[in-house]
Amino acid sequence: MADTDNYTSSLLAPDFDLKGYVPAGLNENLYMLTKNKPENQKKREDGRVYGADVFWKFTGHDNIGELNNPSAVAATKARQCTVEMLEDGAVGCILAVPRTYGSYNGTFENINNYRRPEWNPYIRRVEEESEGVGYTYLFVFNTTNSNAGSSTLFHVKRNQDPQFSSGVTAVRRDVRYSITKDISGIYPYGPEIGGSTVQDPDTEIGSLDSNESVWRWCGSQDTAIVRFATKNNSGEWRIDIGDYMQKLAENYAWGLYRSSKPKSETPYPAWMYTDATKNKMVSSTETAIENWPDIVQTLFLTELNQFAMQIGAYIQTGFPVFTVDRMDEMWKYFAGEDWESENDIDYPPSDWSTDWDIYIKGAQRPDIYITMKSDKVDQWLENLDENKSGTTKSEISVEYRYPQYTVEGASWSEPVNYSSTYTLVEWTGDSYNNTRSTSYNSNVEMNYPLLLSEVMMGEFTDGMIDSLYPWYAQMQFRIVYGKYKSAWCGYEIGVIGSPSVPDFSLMHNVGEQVDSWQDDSTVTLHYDELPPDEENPYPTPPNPPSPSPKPTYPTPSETGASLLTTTYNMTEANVQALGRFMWTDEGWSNKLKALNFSPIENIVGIKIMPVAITGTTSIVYIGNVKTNINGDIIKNTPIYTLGEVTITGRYQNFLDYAPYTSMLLFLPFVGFVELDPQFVTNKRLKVMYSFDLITGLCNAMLFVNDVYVESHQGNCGIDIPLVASNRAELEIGLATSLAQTAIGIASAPATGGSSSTVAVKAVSSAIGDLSSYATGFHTQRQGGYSPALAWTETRECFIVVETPNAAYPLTYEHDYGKPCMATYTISQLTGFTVCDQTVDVSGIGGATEEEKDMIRQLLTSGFYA
Amino acid sequence: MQVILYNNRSDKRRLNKKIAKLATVDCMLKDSCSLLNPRLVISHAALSAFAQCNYMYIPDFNRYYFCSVSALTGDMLEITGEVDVLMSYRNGINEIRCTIVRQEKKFNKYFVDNFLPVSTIKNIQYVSVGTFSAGKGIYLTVDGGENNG
Repeated sequence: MADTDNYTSSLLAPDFDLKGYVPAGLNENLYMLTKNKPENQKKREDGRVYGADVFWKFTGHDNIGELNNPSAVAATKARQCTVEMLEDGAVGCILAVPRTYGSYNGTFENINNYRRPEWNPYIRRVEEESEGVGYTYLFVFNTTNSNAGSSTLFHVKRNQDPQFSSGVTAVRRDVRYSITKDISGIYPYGPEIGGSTVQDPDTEIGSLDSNESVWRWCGSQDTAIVRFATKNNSGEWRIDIGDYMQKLAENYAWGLYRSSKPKSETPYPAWMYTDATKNKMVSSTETAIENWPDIVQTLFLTELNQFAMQIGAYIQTGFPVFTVDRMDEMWKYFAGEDWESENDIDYPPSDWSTDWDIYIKGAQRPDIYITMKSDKVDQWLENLDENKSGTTKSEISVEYRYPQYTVEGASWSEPVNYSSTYTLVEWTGDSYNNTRSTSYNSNVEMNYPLLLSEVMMGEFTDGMIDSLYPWYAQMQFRIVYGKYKSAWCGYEIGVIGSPSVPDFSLMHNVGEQVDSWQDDSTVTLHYDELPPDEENPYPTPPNPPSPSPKPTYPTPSETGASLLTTTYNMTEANVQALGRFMWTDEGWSNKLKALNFSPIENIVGIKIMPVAITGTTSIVYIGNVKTNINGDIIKNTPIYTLGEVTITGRYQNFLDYAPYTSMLLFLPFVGFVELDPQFVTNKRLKVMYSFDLITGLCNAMLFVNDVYVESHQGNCGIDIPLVASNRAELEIGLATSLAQTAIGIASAPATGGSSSTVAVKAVSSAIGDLSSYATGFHTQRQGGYSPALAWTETRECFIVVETPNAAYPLTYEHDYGKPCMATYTISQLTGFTVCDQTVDVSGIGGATEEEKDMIRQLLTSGFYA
Repeated sequence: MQVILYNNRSDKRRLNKKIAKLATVDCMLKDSCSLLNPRLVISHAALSAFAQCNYMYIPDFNRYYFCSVSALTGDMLEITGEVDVLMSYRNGINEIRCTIVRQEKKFNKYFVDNFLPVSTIKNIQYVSVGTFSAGKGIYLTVDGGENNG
């Protein structure tokens, strides 16, 4: 049979430069435009859900049992494939049957006359000039008007070895193909193939391991579902098979092997193949790939009908590349007619890695901002060798989509039979097919916020979810650069509450970061924040420069007070021994020198301090009298760090500050001191003590964010009286201290209430004025206390924080809004809005004065933008 | 003249209303009505679903109206309209730039919100900074001592 007899169409082009065979790595050496149905989408072991878009479904058939025998793969057996259209009006696809192996004449026939003439296939057999072996067939189907579900069966029959086989084939350097691109996008890492089993590279051929991995075999008896990326590399073809290669055949001259190394460790691209002796594994690099002409003769075979999956296959095309919407031009091209050419083919970026930030502002109907930054894409934009069409930043857009939600709950023991689809935007559609470009497609610059349309909650279809359980909203988005699109990046946002009234402020789980499938993109969620580049509605003067470095923390220092005195740290036993020594007749009068003849006058004081310091052990001298009692000589003022705490505002709004919030700090040995919430809220408070060992005083120092802000003195040294007169002096001093010190926090009675209440605010239109809200602590302590009494109190330093209990109804922001006091254009706003009384409506043309009054009244009383 | 009849599902205060078109019908303007409060008469047969009609647009007036439908006779319906200035002038309103007092999404949470209801019951929280655990010491200070001994 003349292989083109049955399929000749009027579109047979007299000549074209198709030589060689199908690009590497794909099912049955056929590559086709494909689009996957949602139910065919696979889930990877890492949890990612992916799905190739498949218009066509290719099924490789093993019609001969010997094909299960690896050694028989190369045997002369016919192979078949069924091509089935999965979606109505699928665009044409190109099938290229690979070159055959060895010397033979292959034919391509339609078994049993099973054909689809309505597919209007265009088939061309290309003869290899140099090799003169086998044929390459090019099939192009134009099935725009055909129905899904239809299929046709193709059969390759050869005189000798059948090489219409599955697996990876080599790609000639000079082979160029036309391929319609733009299905679901051009992936830098090439096609993605769903399949069944994968093979561990260490597994013996013939015993494929079903180990799941990033790779999946395209099914043998199963379907091969693929999609493509194209890359025209200026005459240098390139097969980027990504991180992993699949071990195909060990028994043949050439095989493609998988690298088990992770991407970070694998040279890119990297693959291995055996040499002709079959005994050597060669690791290829790009350089090695250039040597491929020597091996392109060889067909890479798989075994057991397994199809290799490639993550990074680039296909060179010598034809112009036609987008889906230019199929007519493609047909013209094949027919040798005049056709309209596009610009040069773009090479998609090899790396779409993008850092995404999602900002959600608002609780019930949040605005969602997305910012993006990608050094990789920036580089691509500037590289005109790849960015041949000169795509600019202004052409960058973002598409986003919301697949149907999933519902989960901790107490749900069974999968939820959840069938309804909720969308966060007003459009509806099938999950994963619901793509909507924003209205900001144009003039979107990198690193600038892209405001998505308002999240319209409440527009739900049937199937309400139990409000007790959280549910997730998944967002996905990708960037579109001219004709190329990145992979989808996604993020899950957990939202508690009934879908009709969701509250993003109650996110119980920020969800998982769903990475871009094939690159190093990141997604970060920011709740209740605006992007950094968002217009600042409150421009303020810059802060004045800091005049000087902030104070440093205190350090122990020698004050010099010990120049003529000595301070010893004594044990109790030594103090008692000293006491006994003082009563002995040590010949004081003979020993004490001129300064002071009274032993007791040489003792400045003995104090019990709540701090233990060690020093140099020495003999205690009283005056110049040696006591033979040991004590540690202390020279420095001790510093003690009590602790630090970061005080987080409860509401993170105005309620965290005075007068709505009050704070009282208890400092051991000092007492209660009032703290200004302004000082410490959302700041780090550190408390340190210093001690005067001579006077017994202590100084509590407060540092806020390492800045010294307050100090409070206390008396923590308990005097040990020595004689009666000494005791009397102590009491006098204490009484004086008591009279002079009044420590207490007077409460400020609230308006209209008792000292223990605050004004109640109405919830209706007569909502009270918070300005009358005043609070204060009611804890008081009058007067100082003796150090001994201070020692009986708690040693814990704590803060008493008194905050109001504010009631934020779930719909508060939607019903009342919140204080704004900033200038905006109304078109910038969504949701409940109240304009100031000074709103100028004079610019509204066509409105009567009465209408303007009505407009003003509505704008100032509240409306929904 | 003609009138386009709608079913409006949005709150009166919404700037861009969600309206579902019901019909475009011919109508007559009744006497003694104004531009802002027109009264129209349409044929009952022209609007089979008049029960759903609560909104209308009169192209000749270039305005949207809230409306209510009442039957005049068995065959005629009267529609009474009240101008919806928000929808009618939404384009101009969207271009207004002014100070916004309160807003649902763009607000400063540190501005005092006098609308907020607060309870008389306060929340008391104790935050520990640390425990004084520096130990204890007895310190004797003497004249002379090491230096003069």
